[in-house]
Amino acid sequence: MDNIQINRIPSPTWNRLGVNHAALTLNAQLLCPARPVMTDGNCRRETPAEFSVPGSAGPAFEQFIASVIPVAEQFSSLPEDTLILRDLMTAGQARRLHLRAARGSRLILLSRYQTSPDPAHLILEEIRILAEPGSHVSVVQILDGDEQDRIVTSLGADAGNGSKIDVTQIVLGGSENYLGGNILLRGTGCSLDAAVNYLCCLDHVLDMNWTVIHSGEKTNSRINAQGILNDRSRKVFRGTIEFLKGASGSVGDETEDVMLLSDEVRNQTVPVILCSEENVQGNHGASIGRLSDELLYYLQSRGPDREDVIRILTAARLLSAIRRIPDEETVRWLRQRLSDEET
Amino acid sequence: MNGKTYLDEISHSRYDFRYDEDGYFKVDQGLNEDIILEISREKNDPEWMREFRLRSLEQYHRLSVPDWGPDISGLNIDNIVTYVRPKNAGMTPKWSDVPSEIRETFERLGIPQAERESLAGVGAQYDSELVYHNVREEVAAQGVIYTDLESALHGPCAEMIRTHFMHLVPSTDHKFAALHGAVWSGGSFVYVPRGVSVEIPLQSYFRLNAPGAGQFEHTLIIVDEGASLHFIEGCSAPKYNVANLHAGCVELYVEKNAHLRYSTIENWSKNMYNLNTKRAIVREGGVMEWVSGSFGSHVSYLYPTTILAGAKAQMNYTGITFAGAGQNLDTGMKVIHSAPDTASVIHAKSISKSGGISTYRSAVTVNPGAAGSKSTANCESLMLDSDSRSDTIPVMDIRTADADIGHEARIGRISSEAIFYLMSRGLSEEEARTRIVSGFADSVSKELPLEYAVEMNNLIRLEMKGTIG
Repeated sequence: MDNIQINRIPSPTWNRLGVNHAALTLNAQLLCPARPVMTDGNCRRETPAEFSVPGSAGPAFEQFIASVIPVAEQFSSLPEDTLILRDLMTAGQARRLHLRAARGSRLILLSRYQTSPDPAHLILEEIRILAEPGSHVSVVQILDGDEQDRIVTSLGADAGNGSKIDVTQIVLGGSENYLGGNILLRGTGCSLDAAVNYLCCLDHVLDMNWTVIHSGEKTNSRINAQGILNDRSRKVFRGTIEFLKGASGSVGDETEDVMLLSDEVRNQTVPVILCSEENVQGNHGASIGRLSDELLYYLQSRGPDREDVIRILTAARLLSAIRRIPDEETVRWLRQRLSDEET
Repeated sequence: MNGKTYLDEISHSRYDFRYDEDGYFKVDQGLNEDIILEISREKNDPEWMREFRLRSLEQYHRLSVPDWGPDISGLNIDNIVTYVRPKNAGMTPKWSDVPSEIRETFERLGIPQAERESLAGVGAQYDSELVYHNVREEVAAQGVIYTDLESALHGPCAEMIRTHFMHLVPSTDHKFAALHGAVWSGGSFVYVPRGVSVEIPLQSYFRLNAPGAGQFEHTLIIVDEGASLHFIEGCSAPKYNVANLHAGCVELYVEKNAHLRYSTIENWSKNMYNLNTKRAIVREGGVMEWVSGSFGSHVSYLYPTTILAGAKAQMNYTGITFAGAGQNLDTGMKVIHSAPDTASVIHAKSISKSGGISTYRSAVTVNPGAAGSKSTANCESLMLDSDSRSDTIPVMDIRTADADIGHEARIGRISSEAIFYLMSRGLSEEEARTRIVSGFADSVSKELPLEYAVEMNNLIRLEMKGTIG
């Protein structure tokens, strides 16, 4: 058993608030390698590039997962080509995935994390991405564990000149989910657009650690997290936008919108802006609270009762991520999954 | 249109003067039980206070230095003198009885003039001792008590002090609260009786003259039910090449439906480690207002904390931090909503220039049971060059559904569109830039009494020097 600290915030604050990191106990012996990733499109099974940007979970996690999976699966798209990767993981599995989006290429990673009868109830994944100049990378992660599953994903990406990285994370279930991203916007004019949509119920724990480092000039980032907390669930959102000296003309925006449905939930939000460059704009906005009486009254005046209104709003928040998913099969699966939840 | 705004270093000439310390009494450098007992004897502590100091010393040794804030490795407590009594200093209510060089110090700082013109009472502390305390007759006649804390410990308020002193900020709170509990000296006690409204402010001014010394004054204010008070705190010191330490403590009790405004203009010299602790508890319907200007110090850890303990209690925080060369100012606030229908409003601004580091750090906590609570925070930071650094590190910890919490933060430089707009209205570029930077700080200065707003504007003296690409 290993006790490790993950999701460490780059700029710690008062320890007694309990937001500086998350603590995990992991057992390497319960894990086995995941089934290989399915590919759709031409690719190389090697990545000559170095992956210098660590994942969001941090070095202790990466050291641990490397002890379970010594060699990462590697994929490179071909220049100006499209590569789709389908990554399905179930409980009891671990994976390390290193991806290179070649110059001008389109790389789509579709990851789903699901439960299984495996007694480990644990899924671990490390994803590292190198986005070469002009490439466009989309990452979609859907976390759908059951009441006992713990899922940890650690994403790190390095963006070259003019590259685009989109990340969509949808949390539908799981006992404890740890996710985020550590994105280095290294090249001039590169961008990140990240969205996290979640529903946490019962005693679920959702722990997020997002960091965007603006290094290149005229880089853009946007992180939007929105979700619903119910029952006794707990959520921590750490979102850090850092502007390094030289990131002139860059813009970073971070927004969070959390609806609280129970007096027993706990929401912790840590929106951080670190700035060493004068010519930048960093913005953050957060809105945390209950369902507004005015909205509830308006919707109830149209027929549905309070429970129906909450169901509608929950589905709307989760479905708002669908337009970001560049894969019909995944969209169909998600619609069906949410439809099953309704019934 | 692409020029930059240059702000001169704040002129400390008004504050940066010093006097010899011949004949001053000092304890040895460092911190041990003998020093604590010596301070306790000097202060003629009651037994409970002597024991409290010794317990605090134990806590100090047990607690660690914070691992999350600015570097304070340049501060070595073994080099700090924790108690300095000026020659012939004894607390007096007569200005003419204050020793001449101390009197001259405060006159140069404008304190007696301010008292005559705009204050209901003044306390003046020099190094470790209160040297002057006075309150207007008409204010005293209302039953308002404004005195030095040591006198209060032995007078009719002794029991009130015993039941309030370091109850809001226990010495277990953090390492420098423990240090304060062990070596505190000086400071003010204010009691405003039920229903009494003190119409003009009281002020305490703290001056640290001795190099390598610490100042550990304790301010304890109780504003009883339905009463109101504006208290102003000012501080300065000459600059030395050795580290000085300020680890004061402010405890504020705002009772039911009472109102307290606590304004601070902090202008310690740039060799000062300012590790101050301020905390208020607000009962039902009470209002606590913080107005804070942080301009001095080498390193600051300063986060006024408010516990909204009664239903419908409110807190407003308005603060500005100006970090220039050699400064690392970590400032902000904490508020804990612990009762229903409580409200907090936060306006924080910072300016960083010439390599200065400004960090806004905050925590808004809404506890279970604080249903109907609302909090809005607005944090703006202005970077005047890329040698500087500006960070915002807020935390919101919400534990009830029936809450309405909003937070906005922005970091950026002077908007070229705003300059263009003002220039299109006939201002020169230099004038336009000056007005924008002045306006940025205006929301804080307008919360201060006029003479202090002028003082603050003097501290942020803006100079526009041409443009560069």
